[in-house]
Amino acid sequence: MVALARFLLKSYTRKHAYFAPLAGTLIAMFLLYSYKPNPVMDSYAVTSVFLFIGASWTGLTFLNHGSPQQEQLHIIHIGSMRRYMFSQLLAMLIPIVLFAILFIVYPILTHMFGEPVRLQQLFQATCGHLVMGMLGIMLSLFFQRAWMPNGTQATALLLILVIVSIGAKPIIAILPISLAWLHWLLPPVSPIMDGLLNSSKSAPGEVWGMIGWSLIYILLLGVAYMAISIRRDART
Amino acid sequence: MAIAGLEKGITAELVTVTDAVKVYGRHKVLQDISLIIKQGECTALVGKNGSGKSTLLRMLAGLIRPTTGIRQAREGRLVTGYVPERFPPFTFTPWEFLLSAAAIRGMEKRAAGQELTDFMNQLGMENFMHVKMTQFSKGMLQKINLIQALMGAPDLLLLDEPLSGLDIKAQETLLRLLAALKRSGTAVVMSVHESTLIEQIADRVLLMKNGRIIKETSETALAASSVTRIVFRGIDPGTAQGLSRLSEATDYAAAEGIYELEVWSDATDIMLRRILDSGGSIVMVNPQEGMDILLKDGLNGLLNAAKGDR
Repeated sequence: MVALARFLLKSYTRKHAYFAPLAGTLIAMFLLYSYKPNPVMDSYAVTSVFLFIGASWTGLTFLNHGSPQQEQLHIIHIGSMRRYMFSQLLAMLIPIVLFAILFIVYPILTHMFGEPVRLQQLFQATCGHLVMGMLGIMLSLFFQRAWMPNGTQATALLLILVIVSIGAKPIIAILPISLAWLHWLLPPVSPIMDGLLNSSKSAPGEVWGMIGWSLIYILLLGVAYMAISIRRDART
Repeated sequence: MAIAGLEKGITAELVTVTDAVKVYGRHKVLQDISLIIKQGECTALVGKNGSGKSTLLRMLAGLIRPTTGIRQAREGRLVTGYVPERFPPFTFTPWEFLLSAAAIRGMEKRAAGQELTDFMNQLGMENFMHVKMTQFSKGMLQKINLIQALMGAPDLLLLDEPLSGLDIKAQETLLRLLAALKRSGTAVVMSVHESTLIEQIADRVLLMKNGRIIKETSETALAASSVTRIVFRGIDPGTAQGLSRLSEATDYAAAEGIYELEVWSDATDIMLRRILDSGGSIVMVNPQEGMDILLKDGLNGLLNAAKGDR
């Protein structure tokens, strides 16, 4: 699986499909840090949302970058659809980790914060970024061409879901109380953002609880994706 | 339908497909397919475009699942080589791509390097080892397509139009390679348009039409599996349709007073006589294997002579 993940990443980068999401995410980060000093956790909360958006965009371009015949050959070479999908997930984690490192380290190295970053903040921010990146990837899985052949429609639907996930708190607030359960269905982007923003005011357990719930959410999405995808045909 | 291959006695089954149906939307692409693929056996799939050959190959490869029915592979590891009809436009050199493909298969790097170098040499591609494949012609890409499937001593080799785009020398090399693989126990299933492959390495030919295997022919009776296309005119549509319903006919089409009838080759004379007796006029007789394949070179001469007479 490592060999296929490596090949998929090479294939993706050689097609330059990564450039738009990478550029978009970097521009957003540089705009955020266009002035200083900045508050530590507020900035990290915002960049974790950037990472969520960037990861879903990167994920979609990554999953769609190969032709159906390329997918067929990979499945044959690695021996099963399940291993192929795990290789894809493994490959997609690499840019997410790199993005997360960049978002965490850049403001520290360039002295963008008005105060020193404490170890607990650093730890919470790193976990928050990784979880947000994984959430973005997980969402993109369901909008890839193998699931939705109409690319424009898939992109539009993914964008809607990304927007609703980010704005879940105010959106749920204006809905009737009987629909409040909807926030359990939506990706927990808004709660993590809130958790990071208010990490100094809220109990540490609250932030970790949110991150834990996000990991369960990611796991459930992953299991659902695998259970459905393992039965799908290779693209033709 | 009886399971193709059962009557010969099963020795080493690699893949078994039982009563498989594949539906895309409302269209049945494969219907009632039952097939056993055995070690060391070469099966040729023939039929017109859209008859379901490529879909059946993908099903045998495990790339698509039957909508109903069963596809079962041998227990344990089954190394499969698959040549898709179109090779994807990789932005890699053959060396990079083939070594990566070997690594994905779990092959040891040095052995893989040696094997791919051998194949590249045999197919006359040794000077293009480190050239980006985006600059390759169709034939060159087909050679890489074949090498990626042949590497790693596959148990099952599935080839979709393997000779497509290959020059004569490469075709001969491929024939030699396939024969050697077959001898070593590799099962080969190929969709083909060329009679050379069928005549030289196929043990059986499956004629496909509208997603069904309509005839299976063994090595000893390959010629009998061929069909002949008869184009005629000069009779009313009702009579032509009546002829198409006879057991000798396998396919029928009509357009603007011209009728096209496909019949089993061994029934060509009978059918020609019936058409003439019905007052019809023969426009063309074309011996083939369901898709414009001439079985024997000798037939070319006969065909040309017949055209000359007309």
